[in-house]
Amino acid sequence: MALGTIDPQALERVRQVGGDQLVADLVQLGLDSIRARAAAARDAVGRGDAAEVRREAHALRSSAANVGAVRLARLAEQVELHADARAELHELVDDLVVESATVERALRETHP
Amino acid sequence: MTEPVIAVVEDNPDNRLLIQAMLGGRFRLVEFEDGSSALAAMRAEPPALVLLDISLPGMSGVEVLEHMRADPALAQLPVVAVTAHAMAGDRERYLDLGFDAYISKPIVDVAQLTATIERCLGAAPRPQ
Repeated sequence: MALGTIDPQALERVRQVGGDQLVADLVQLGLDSIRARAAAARDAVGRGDAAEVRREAHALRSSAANVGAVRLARLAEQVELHADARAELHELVDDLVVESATVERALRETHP
Repeated sequence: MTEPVIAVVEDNPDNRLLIQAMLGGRFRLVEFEDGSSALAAMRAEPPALVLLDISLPGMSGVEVLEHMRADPALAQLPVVAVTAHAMAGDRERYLDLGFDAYISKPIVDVAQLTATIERCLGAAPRPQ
């Protein structure tokens, strides 16, 4: 089954912990993190810094999972696993940047 | 009674926010974004337990643990590995490295997190 952009159950679990305010704060911090980490991963690919690519993708995966961005989390995992494979990495990180923007649009719609 | 102090060493602010929301009412949390600042502060004022992210900028969580275990002031502290690596065999690997427990991210189960912390706080001191 294809993964959707956002799994709403993830943020519902967060709501049960800390209500709507925690969800709003987590979405804001998560999107800030996703945007910054995706840009940093792309820069690190440009420099050929595999260790930094891996670290940024790992952190991005965590932020994506927190907000239920399941497809983005899966992509970040692929980047982590292929950080040393230069041929595939450029395309994977491009996909990561595109999916990050998709996640941001989706969450801005539901959590303006 | 004063709440036990837990050091949270985690560079992602969203993860720190979640941990604060989950544990803030039961424990006093002190937060650090990297291992070096955490080690310096913990040497001055050791917490009751450390929640330690593995993938940190600069010094990794595993390196932070090695520094702690080599330091008499910190060697006995319970340390819980917190990681999104979540590969098969991770739990055993981190326990073998000397962590007292392991929590995988995203952290979704408050009861499991709290139970892990309580168990580590109540455990007997580690052998010298």
